[in-house]
Amino acid sequence: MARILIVDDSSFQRRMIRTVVEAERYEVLEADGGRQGVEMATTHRPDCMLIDLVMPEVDGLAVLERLRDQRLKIPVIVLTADIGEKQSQQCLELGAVAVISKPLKTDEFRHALNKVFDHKQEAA
Amino acid sequence: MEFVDEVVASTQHIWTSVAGLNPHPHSQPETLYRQERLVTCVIQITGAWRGVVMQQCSEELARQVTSTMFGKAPADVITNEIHDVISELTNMLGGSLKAKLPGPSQLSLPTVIEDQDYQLVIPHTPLLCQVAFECQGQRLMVTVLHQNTNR
Repeated sequence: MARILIVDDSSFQRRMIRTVVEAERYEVLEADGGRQGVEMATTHRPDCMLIDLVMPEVDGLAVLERLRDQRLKIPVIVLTADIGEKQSQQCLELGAVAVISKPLKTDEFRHALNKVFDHKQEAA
Repeated sequence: MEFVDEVVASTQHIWTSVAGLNPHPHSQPETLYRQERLVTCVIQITGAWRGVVMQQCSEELARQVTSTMFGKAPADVITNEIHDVISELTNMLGGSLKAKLPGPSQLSLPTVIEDQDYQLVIPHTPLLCQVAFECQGQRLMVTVLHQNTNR
């Protein structure tokens, strides 16, 4: 079963996102911030990461930068309530597969996950 | 759509889709300020548009929503969880309203205040609109302030 790492400083958001992800039959890992998110990406090598953009200390952009610098080729979907063209573009330039808004819409999320896992199947 | 209608629509959408509750606009906003403990969350918007989005509700409503979201009895909910839920609801509301305002702009991290009988003042940021809602027999207030840039 594919594993998805949720990185969000809000336990409430992690719980909500977990419900959606588990309904799509993925195994869920959780990190409570950007720093732990990068650590778990290194140790657990999840199949995909869902990261919040605005987090204290190490935010979503910093997570993307650190994943790139460490050459961790893990597909990332950015989730944010603060969606804007400039931030979205920055995330995509740093390698994010998609940027989607909170609250999570199941269809939009499913489409983004399909994009990740269809691409993985093609590469395999 | 008038901005106040956007505030109503966004608030109802967020609370319905996230918390499963449907707040209704209420015509007597002053009844929010009884002698009760209030939870207030503030998010700033900076950039092409500068101002504040604020959500206030009774501690009782905040606790009810949190207990639903965490699947716990209200008495078992802890303060951090209440603040987390109200922060995230306000964050999403701020994001939704920001998309309706001149851009580009961005949201701050949320700030939560909880106490009884207090007044929150944000200087040089007059009221743009304020909507009171009734939700689960409790009051919810959404306030948007717009910074006066001609200081």
